[in-house]
Amino acid sequence: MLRATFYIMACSAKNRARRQLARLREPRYLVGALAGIAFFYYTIFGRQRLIRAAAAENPNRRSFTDRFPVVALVTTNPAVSGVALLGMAAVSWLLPMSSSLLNFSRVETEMLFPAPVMRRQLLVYRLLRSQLAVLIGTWLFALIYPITSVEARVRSLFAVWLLLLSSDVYVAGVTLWQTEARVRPRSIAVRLAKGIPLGLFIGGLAALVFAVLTRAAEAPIANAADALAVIAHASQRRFIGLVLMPFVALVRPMFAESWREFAVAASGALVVYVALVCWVLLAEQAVDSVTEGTVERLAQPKTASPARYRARPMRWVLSTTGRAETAFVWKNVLQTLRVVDWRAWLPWLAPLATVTLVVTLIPRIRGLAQAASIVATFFTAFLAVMGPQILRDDLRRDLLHLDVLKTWPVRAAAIIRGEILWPACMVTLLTWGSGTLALVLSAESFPGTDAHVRIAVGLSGLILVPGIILAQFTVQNAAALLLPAWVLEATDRRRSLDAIGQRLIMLVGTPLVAIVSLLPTGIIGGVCWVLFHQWLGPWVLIPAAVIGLILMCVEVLTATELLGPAFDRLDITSIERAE
Amino acid sequence: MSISVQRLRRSYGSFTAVHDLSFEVAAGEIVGLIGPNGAGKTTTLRTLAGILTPSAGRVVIGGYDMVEAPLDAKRRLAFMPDEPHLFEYLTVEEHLRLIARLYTVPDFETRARALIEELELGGKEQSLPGELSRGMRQKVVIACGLVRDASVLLFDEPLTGLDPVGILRMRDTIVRRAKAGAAIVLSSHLLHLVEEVCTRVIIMDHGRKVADDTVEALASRADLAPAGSNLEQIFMHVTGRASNPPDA
Repeated sequence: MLRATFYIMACSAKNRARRQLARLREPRYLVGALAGIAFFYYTIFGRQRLIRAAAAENPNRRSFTDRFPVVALVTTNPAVSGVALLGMAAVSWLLPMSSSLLNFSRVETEMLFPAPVMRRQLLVYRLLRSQLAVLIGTWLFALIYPITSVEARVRSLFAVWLLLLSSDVYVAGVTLWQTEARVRPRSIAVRLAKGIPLGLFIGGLAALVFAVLTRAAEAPIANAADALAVIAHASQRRFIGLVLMPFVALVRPMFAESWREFAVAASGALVVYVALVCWVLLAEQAVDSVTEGTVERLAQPKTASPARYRARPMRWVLSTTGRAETAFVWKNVLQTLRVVDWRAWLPWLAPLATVTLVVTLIPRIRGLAQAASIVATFFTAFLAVMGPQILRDDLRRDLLHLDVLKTWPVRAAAIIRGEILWPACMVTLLTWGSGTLALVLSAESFPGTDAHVRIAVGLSGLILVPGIILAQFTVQNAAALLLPAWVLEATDRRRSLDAIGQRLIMLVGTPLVAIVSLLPTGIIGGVCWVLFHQWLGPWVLIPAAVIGLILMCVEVLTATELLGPAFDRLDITSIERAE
Repeated sequence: MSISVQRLRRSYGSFTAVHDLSFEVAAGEIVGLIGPNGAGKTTTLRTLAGILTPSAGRVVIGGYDMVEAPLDAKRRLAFMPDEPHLFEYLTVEEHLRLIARLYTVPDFETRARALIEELELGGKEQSLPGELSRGMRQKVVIACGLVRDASVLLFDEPLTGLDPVGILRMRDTIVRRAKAGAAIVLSSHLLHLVEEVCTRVIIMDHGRKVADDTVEALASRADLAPAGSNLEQIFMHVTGRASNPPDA
């Protein structure tokens, strides 16, 4: 099976490269490929040159980690990263996991399953095949990881690769052992294989929380950096250190400062990886059960993704008259509520709200409140910028239904508006939730700023959020209509050079266009500030934000009208044919 | 005329899928659109349905030009594609309700109930597409097309995936809709079905119309007389696929 695996990998790589080179004749792929090459160059060499140039220009300039000790702590102390990994590892046992390693494709089930090979060998085949894809995915991390030299960047790439490979195998293991526990609930071996890691992880986390609280009782935790230092210190205790050992081993290669150090650290990470693979392969019956599940799933009628939802009755019954946009909102609401079970979020939201309340109210652990404030602010910004790119419950998802949509007697602009309204509402609500938390805790992260200014800036930002998000959804849907091949590629999650480039252009282009659409709002805000600031103070930002929001909505309305002809012209099958 | 196609041409880049196609379909008529793979049948139907814009020529549905007044034209037609594309998170009943809203169907509940009975979808109203067989999903697509009173019905391989009972019922449904005054275009590779239900046949090959008449008229044509009297023989002859029996 190993020879067959390498044969499939080699032939696929050769043919994929040939096909990708051939399609560079088309401008849409060429532009993406150029952006991809620029990205890879930048991640290895470009960023380093920029840092060096900035340092030469201003030798007294403090580095990023000097300015933010929290970042310095995270990026220099493997124990802190190890704790984060431990948390994720423990949580993964509580969630219904589905490993991508176990998602065999249709062709794999139809050609390899009937072959005279063991299912365990098929799993090894999947493990081997996934490695190259994970390596390409690793590059995205290289962009955000602070690096001091080209060599360090190469080391970090391999370090992150090892970490992601291990994570993939771990998730596969959790999936398999959870299945194994369902298949053989009375087996002592299964109980041990599932119970030992779960017990150790939860025990380790509990010991860590206890140590942090004990330390907080002795002396107040001043700020986020202090909180991380306390966690790092607590992680040196014997039992916690023991539980953390494999996690720290996995992240340690990222902290190596020389090749020798890297070799030693990578050996440790490899040992953990091999142990994980062995643990996964031990789940014999689950491999059969999970792969049979895959076969059953593939035997079902073909849908965009496996059905893991049920048709729950809905209270909102669509009337037979009214605006077409409402019908699309209704359709998308049903789609979302069928996929996302809000009740499943409650066990997570309740402790989160409790922790936030506790860290805010108890003065001795206010340092954690600052950490929570930073996280909430970051999350708000992340949702506002990345939300429209991640949530694709709009025309991007319905591109494959375009034939159906086009036969309906509905204006194209109404379809586009209807498609983007609901996801924009959803991201806005989430951003408002996180933004409100950041605003409540803002005194911790901006202690020197006047409360009136903080609240006025925060509220005006929250007022503008729907406009910013709508603008980005409009850009994304415009891309779906003007560059449908790119959107279809993103749906397929292909990892070719041009696909990575296309995704990067979209990643940068979407917020950029949103910023441009904010220009009139900025001008209005500036004018309001100059005219009324002396009477209203910072509160002048609120009416300015309301006017700005109205302006942005008008811009979105105009853009959707202008996109109508592009919708009418679009023929998805011609793109598929070109492929 | 319910459907009027005048000198229709549809190209994909340098490739022309349909060349100068013209035909008309009157109310109550069932026209069979047949041809070998790649003949341009699906492109023709997709252009009639307003999914594709004609590269040249006109498509008029119920008196409305598909390019100049697309919404009025689309209100009058129902297109049933060969691949049942359904929204994976909407139930059967919700699909029908969505269509009723988009086409403003007044007595939706009554119509939907009758259709569900007619197409044997009873008990599946609250099922999602992922829980249905291909044949069932095909029936849902057909139900979506029939839930409103469309005066023009376009069927692309309507019987794919249906069981024998479903095929018989579908055939009856098509005939009944035509008798009620609908103009129907039916594309299918099942020549016996076309011969049985269609009042006229259009044969396409390499994007061009190579024959357009009733089966009887085609069989009596002098140049087609040697082909034989049934549609299968005529089709093979017209498309140049008739082969001589091997020498003994």
